[in-house]
Amino acid sequence: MNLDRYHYIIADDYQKYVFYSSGPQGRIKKVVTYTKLSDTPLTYNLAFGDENAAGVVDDGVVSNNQDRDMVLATVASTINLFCDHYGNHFIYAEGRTPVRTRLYQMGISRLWQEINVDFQVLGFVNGDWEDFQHNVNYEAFLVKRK
Amino acid sequence: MYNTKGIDMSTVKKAVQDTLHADVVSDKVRSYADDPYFVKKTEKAKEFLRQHPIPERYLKK
Repeated sequence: MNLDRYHYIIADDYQKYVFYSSGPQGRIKKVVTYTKLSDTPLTYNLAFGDENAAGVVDDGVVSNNQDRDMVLATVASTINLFCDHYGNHFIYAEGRTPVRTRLYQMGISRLWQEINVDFQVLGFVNGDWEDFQHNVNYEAFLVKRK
Repeated sequence: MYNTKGIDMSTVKKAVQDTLHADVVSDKVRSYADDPYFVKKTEKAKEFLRQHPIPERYLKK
């Protein structure tokens, strides 16, 4: 992928990434973490949220910083770096709420031409996993680098 | 905390964070392992995949 993105601070285990969204609402600290979910198949959870000054993390707030694609591109970039160190395994992601998951889905759709080059994306809908399609409201996603 | 040149390193750290012009690997990133938000997200994800495992057709690719 070759999209504009924010630079980030990478934890030395390459499982945590911190960056700062910058826009009309100011600077917002963003945190991406990867946690192993299962060994067979090896699957990791991608969790993403905003960390406030008190150190409380949440993803329930729409930050409205007018940089959503740049934020998404940054998160996608962390997947690449994570896979460089841990291998190309399934990575699970969902929003805290259906609205948030829908925002992720729209973001993937907008950047699909770039994302599809490097990643296989599955979506969960109607009780099953399927290859990602536009205009489908998925409950969750699985991403695997090709 | 001040370094040997009398520079407040917390100020330096903040300046670095304010102006990230490159990716930086650091051993100072907070763990988040016990953060309630991330713990809850992980448990929810585990339960979701337990109920809805990845189909075999995708594991063979």
